[in-house]
Amino acid sequence: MLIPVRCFSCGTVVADRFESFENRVKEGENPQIVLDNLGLFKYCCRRMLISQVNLIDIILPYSK
Amino acid sequence: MDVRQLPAANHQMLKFIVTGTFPAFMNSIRRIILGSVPTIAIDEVIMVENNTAMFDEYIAHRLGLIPLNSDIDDLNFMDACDVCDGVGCNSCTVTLTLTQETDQTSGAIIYSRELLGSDHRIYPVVDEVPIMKMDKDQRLILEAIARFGTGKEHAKWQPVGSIGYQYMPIISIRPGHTFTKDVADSCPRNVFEYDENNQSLNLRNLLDCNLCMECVHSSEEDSISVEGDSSQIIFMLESTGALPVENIVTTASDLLIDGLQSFIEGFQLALEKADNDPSSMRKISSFERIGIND
Repeated sequence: MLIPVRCFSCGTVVADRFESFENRVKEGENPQIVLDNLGLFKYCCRRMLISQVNLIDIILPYSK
Repeated sequence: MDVRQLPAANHQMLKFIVTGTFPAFMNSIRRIILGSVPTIAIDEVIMVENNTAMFDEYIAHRLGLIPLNSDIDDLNFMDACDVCDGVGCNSCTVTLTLTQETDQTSGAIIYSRELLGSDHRIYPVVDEVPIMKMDKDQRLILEAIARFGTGKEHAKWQPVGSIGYQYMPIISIRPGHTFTKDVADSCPRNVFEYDENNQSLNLRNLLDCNLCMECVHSSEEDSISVEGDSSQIIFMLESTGALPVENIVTTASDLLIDGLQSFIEGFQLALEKADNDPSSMRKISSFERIGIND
């Protein structure tokens, strides 16, 4: 689904950094360095971005 | 008690050492920060129209988690509002609106910056949080009501992300002892610097040590000792952005002082009562005696 607003474990806001993380990793940058640059140092926050799958795109057309 | 600030990774983080204290005291500050320092967050959402792919509740939950700038002091607590008696009015709530519509040709992503507040001082501190993704020909119109709250009620009102403290590491290396480079490399925080010539260890980043004891296990017995000094505490916290990180600590300290003040007043009242009416104290002690015998 959409990237969760906050880290499940510590509550840091992570959603705002997902777009640039995704774009930079797609361009071939090392995810480890990108996460450090984005200021996510704890592994709880890092897994939020690493493990995100944007399933929202699949259900997007099915509106009420 | 001596407090020294340490360099932190960014302006939302704060790290300091307190000397001459004890863990229970620092923990009370930590718990007051988590549970009692008030911030503003969206608490109620009135959906005017939503034909996006997700339910109203999902969107409302996401809105609640977005940190709003809470660095103001003229908004009442809704429960204690003397204007409306806790119903909700302009002196205790702030309304934010969101209106987004997509046409027949393209979709859109709604970001937190599109939330417009009735009070210009209350706005999402992070602009880039995606609230919802929309496909063609969808509409999302809503009104969100934000108010002051505390972390006791819901974690969205917590002013901090991560917060914690640790004991000051005391690392002693036996003088004259020779070490292999493996010992220095075993430290996950790179606390040691290896001196090739003397085959000795030097301390480089003492404050990075997290007392994991890896160096003790990988070296000869009694050559390194790592201990935590509980009278010196390294405290660190990370603000969500709702409040400036320094304000969080000062507000928590004020709340602790207020709490202790009202405790002293209540306690002295109880003592006076017991002096004047000894039976009031006896009632409590007899009650306790029954409890123990049972």
